Amino acid sequence: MGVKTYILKRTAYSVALIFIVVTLNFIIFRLMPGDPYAVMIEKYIMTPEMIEATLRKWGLDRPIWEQYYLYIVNLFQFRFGLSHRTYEPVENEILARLPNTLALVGTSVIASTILRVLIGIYTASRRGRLVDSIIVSASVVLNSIPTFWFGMLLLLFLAFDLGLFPAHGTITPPPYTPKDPWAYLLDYLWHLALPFAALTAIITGGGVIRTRNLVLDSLSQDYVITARAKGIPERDVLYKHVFKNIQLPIVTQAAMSIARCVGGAMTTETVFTWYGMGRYTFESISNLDYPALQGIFFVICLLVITSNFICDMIYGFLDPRVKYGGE
Amino acid sequence: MVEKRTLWKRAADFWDKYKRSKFGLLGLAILMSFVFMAVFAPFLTPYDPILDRDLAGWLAYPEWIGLIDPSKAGLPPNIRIPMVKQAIQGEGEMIVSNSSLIKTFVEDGSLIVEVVNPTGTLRGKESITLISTFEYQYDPPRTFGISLWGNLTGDTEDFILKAKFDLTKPNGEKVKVWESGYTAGFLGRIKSGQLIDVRSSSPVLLLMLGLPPQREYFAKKVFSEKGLFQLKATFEFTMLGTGKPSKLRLILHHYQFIVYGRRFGLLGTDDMARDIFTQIVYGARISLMVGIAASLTTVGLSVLVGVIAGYMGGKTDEALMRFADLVMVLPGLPLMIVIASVLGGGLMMIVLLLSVLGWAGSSRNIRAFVLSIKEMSYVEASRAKGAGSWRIIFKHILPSVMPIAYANLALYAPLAITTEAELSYLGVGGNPFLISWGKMLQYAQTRGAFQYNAWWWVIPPGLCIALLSLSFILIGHSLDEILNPRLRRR
Repeated sequence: MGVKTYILKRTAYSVALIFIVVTLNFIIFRLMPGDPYAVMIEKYIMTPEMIEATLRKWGLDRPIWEQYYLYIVNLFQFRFGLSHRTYEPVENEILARLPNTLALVGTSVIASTILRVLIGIYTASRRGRLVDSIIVSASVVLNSIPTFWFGMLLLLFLAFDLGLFPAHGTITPPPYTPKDPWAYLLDYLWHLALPFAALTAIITGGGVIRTRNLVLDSLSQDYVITARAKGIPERDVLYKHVFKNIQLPIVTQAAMSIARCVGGAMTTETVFTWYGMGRYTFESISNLDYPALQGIFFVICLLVITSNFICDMIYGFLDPRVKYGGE
Repeated sequence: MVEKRTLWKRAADFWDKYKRSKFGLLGLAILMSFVFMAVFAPFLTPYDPILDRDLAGWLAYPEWIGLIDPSKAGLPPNIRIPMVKQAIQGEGEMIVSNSSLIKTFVEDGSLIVEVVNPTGTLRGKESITLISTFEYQYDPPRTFGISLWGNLTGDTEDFILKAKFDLTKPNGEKVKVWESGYTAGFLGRIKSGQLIDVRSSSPVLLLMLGLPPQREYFAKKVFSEKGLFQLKATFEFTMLGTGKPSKLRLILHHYQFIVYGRRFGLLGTDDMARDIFTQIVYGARISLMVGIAASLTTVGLSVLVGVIAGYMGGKTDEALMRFADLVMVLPGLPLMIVIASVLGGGLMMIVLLLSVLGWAGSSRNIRAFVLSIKEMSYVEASRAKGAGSWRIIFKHILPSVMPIAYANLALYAPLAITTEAELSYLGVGGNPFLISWGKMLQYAQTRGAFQYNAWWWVIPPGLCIALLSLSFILIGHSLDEILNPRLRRR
């Protein structure tokens, strides 16, 4: 299997996945209890002509497959309709919030991947000692803690009680307007700190054990024994030889952690009133803002599937079996 | 009989092994205490988690707050002064303006007051006053109030009934708390036997008294000092003298002066003064139910798919595993949020979604295991003897798959529990008549737990979620080690 076939295969798979998700989305909103336009017809007493005109206006008089086609076309042009709550186009609302979510999820995924690897290797090299058992227990405990609750604790004690961090939003509200872009960035990062810490801690927690087990597996392999026999320092054995050999599963884990991180961000953003997609989801749920939910769902799925695709590409790049063909 | 004994013996053997796992026992102990909580909820707490409001002041600290924060040891608990009982039993007194016109007697703890206008020509005011005192040695409460439940019968048109409530502070200052004119429809309510509940935090009362509209202002002002407080409840009857003899009968079932506590129960109260401990206890039911139901259906599905794929092989296997791959990469939480909030369906929907989206991962493991079992010589032998597919599946494959399934059961439950919590925290799939731990956290977030630093509202629900998940994880790992020695972890 060459690089080209690999890329093509993964691309086809991702596109298929997007279509499945999109179709699911379409079906879900058709299955919704109650008629989407019955509300309107009930609200304003309508003549049959008016009903017909309304149905035509929203394209509801067309056969279902044509509706589906229009839906797909609109979706891929990022036209999600008007929000039930603000009467703004949903895509504008999403566009305003997406960068914040990307910042939160991106930093958390990268930081947790690095932490997971470092801590995993470290604790594997200290196997059986006190540090090892402490880290493993901490990892098990962190794995069973709900992300948002951890965030709530941080918010309660560090932001509200001690006042070390801001309690709301992504930047300090208007009276404080930094002209200097660096000051602005600093303010942003200061607000990012707590949600980032909450998300990273929990995402890292569960993965440490898996990395540790990977390293332990590698440590019993022949090449490690050879390397040690050659007198290579233990540090180099761990961080050069072993690391190189566990790269692939680490990439797979990172890909899996993206989905978890996006899920975690939805609640964490709500906790910290972080102006992102998760917070928007919460607002849309409480206001039954269906067009917004539909748009959010599409964008998040796109985000997860795209990042998985990128991970697949990195995997392909790292895996010699893909690069040089063969199985 | 023989069958039974071996089963019993196997269970005993298993328990012998399980006993050796310290973490497994810890997990089992935690799980059992939550099960105990869920089953005996009504015996553990007398309150209802949602309906019983105003059990104390809003956001009251836990009762034991003084132990960890001595500066809060002086916060008041709930204080209820039964006005009628105190006045009759000599600790207070009852003053009647004219004993020939007003007769009082007590029946079943209720005070009955009869006012007569024997000729129907008398005009003027008569009154009955209940006085009692109480010692107050605490910091100011957030709110206090009176609750009055009476019944008025007789010739109500020939009298005007007014009530008022005054209070004398230890320094002799008189404070007017309430008069019946402040409560809209007072006469109608007392005639129909409705409870009249006056609260010092009520904006209407503050407006009537001409006080600033801050909820805690009145309570702080009244209880600014400690000492002996005197309470005075007065009922005033104005006879209209319409010409015919008339009679009025007022029954006071219940008349209380209440200081709403700032500490209450094991875990304090929420913003509507509902008991948080009660909510925790009843929340255990939901989390356990969702956790167990979802992991049963999920593991059931994964066993079904895994066994079919592994046993059938070929095209079926290929198709099922492709499908499993697909389900595994679907973004689970967003999908659940959208489906549950659009289609509704409450907890059942959450369980359904958890199992539909969760079976894929473990079905792969089970399939791999089935593949290896299928090739075992005893299965071959069984097949050679002419055993059918069903016999092989039920006799050989399922029994050897079950150990993996048991461990998976315990390992999937935490995911189900945390996901349910996340969904209820976001307000998805909620049932307004059930309060789960996730929903408690949502309420805490949106109703000001942070602003008031109400840690007793934020910590317990999350801690319970974490503990319950942890117990399942510990049990799952122990089961895994005992039942699947080949997969033993380091």
